[in-house]
Amino acid sequence: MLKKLIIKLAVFFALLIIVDLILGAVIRKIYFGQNHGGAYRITYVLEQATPDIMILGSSRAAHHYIPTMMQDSLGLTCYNAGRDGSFISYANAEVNSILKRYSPKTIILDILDDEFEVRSYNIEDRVSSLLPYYKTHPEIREIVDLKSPLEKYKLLSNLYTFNALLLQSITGAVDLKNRKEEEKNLGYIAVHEKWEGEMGITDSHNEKLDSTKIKALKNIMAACNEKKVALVIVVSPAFKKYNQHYNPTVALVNEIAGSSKIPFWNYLQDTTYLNHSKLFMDVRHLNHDGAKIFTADIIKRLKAVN
Amino acid sequence: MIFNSIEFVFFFILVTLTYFILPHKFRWFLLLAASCYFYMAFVPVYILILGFTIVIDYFAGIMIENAPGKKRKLYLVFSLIANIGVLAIFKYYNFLNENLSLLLGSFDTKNPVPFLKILLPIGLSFHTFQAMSYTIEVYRGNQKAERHFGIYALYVMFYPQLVAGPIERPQNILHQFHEVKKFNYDNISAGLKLMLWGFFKKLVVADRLGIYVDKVYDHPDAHNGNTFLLATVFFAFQIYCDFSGYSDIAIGAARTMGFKLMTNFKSPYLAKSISEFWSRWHISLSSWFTDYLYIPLGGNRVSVPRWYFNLMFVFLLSGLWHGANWTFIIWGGINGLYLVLAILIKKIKWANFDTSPRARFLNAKYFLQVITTFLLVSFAWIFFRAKEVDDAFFIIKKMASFEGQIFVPEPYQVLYPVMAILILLSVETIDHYKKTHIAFFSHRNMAVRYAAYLFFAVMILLFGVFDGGQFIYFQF
Repeated sequence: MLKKLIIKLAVFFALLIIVDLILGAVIRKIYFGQNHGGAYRITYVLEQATPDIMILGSSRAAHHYIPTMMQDSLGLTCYNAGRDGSFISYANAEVNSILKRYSPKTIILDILDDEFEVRSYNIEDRVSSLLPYYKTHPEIREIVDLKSPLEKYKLLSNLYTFNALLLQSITGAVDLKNRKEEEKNLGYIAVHEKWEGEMGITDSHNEKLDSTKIKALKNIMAACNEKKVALVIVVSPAFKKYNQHYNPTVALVNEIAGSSKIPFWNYLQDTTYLNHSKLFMDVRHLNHDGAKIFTADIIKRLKAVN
Repeated sequence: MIFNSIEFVFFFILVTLTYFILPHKFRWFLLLAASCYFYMAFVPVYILILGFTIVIDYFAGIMIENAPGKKRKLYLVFSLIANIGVLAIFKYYNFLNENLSLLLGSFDTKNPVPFLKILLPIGLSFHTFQAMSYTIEVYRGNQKAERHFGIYALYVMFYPQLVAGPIERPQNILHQFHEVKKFNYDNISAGLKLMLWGFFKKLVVADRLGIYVDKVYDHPDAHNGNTFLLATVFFAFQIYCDFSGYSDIAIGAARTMGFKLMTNFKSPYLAKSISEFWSRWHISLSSWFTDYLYIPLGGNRVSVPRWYFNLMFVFLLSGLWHGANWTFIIWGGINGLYLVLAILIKKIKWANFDTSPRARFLNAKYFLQVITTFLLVSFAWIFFRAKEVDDAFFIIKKMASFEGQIFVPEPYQVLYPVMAILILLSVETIDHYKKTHIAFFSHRNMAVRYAAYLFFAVMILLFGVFDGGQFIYFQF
């Protein structure tokens, strides 16, 4: 019986290895063969992009900064690498890869209002989407290993390397969301909906901060400092009211950035936006009208800084 | 240690292999030591709480069996108070105190009772209920008191079902620890297949859905009605696959060593009424409440108002069992209310129709009933998932508007979950129709079987959420 079990398990694993090798190779070919779309943008940011101003952050970054406006006003090339679910650890990996290749003049890091708070739930960070680059980009391994110390062993599987990336790879060819338009907009995603709901309310903050995320911020600051890249940290506008005035994320960044003389621009309670719901698409994101006003403001401040 | 971790895979292989290598007389010790290690991987110190109740219930069982007349009841009550006391302190103390503070606050009075700074021991409600079922069954004379302390401790601590069930009965599992389990290919094969299916449910369905659900439910102010509708349906499948996936892995892991744990889920979303749903959902808990609370209260053999009271009471308590929060109590209340209403409108009978599986499969009325049941259950899940009662009502209000474009951060964040749900429903519908369990895994054609194993293994590698976190039911 033991022999039967061993033979059957051996057959199963042999077949699985074959499928893993073949299917993994096919998906790899599709993945790295894209020329537009979300997955392509990761490759572009990590391996090719060389703008003077690089914008990093989550969907708030993607919807809030208009690179074409910045290029026209500042005379510098600009790219918006913001993506939904890309938080501070992911930004740390991006910075490592970017600075290994070249030094942009400025990196704008857009963070969430609760970026460093310990969350009681698991929110998917884009770190998973860095798996295809693990073997070829040693500078991001430390970040990917945050997922699990056994990540390098899991990545022995070619299929796991493209975990949750199959559809993105295919849509890179099909262009479901008109991604080509995004590429024309240099990563900026315009939304024209206007928020008609009520203002969001944050009753309280979790004052417990995540040391891993704080470390990621410090790493980004140190890397930029070493390469003489100007770093600007921004909390962009939100249509939210805060019942607790003390915001631990804002306090932390004020302290850390302040001591290193890194500009920190906090727009959370800026009445230019807070009094105009029509500048938002929802309580967390500006729409195109809002983004135009916000980008103009950022341009003004960047000019003042430089 | 969580099942959906690489560490568990190594742990499982090591324990199972060692189990069969060791002579029978040492196996209980291996399983007990492995179970202690498994439990201590969470918060080590909490094993002392488990140890406390194990010692009390072990001696209580023997004393109940040996004691004459009324003393038996005394020992039983002592044991129950010890178990419920632990639950009350670790799970409900702060909740009750919080409500006391609110109550006193409304009279401008400060609550003098201090809050406890304690974490809820993982799976406390599960092993406490399992321990209580032991002393109750000994008291009822259905189970002999276990004399072997190690085996009794193993009954409470058996690692596959220690932190999230199934909540076993001593009559089913205790004697199995004494039996000599031989290496059996069929058991190992059946166990591994069940584990593969459980991992698919947890990693590909539950955790994939959880990503979307968390994004929506954790920011109620940022989403519209239609998004909440989708997130609520997703949550219904998430919680089912999270919990039944755990049960499948637990039952499968035990099965590889020859232990047969009780079935915990039977395709609950194919139920055509709320009462049928509850006979298919978390069966080990539902039957626990039926055996030890509902029937002792009189069940349905009482006056009609009392029957309604019994139902409501049991479901409110079941809600409280899930968590010390009003959201869970309301969730239980809604389910109780559904059953009461079902009794009230029982006179409105559906036309008779063939209830054989084949006829059910083809019957439109059956589908209507299944969908209605699913929607009612999903509505109640809103309270289960919402952080606060206010959030739940806010979400319901938004949902009622049926407005807004569905939040799709990236197409894959909706398409992967939909694909996973469709695969799940296909497998469950075929099983339901054919009265099989994971039919492809036991197909007579070897090529089909292997294709099925490979398909689910590839699905896990390609779409599974690895290191996605704990099982939802661990918190209970």
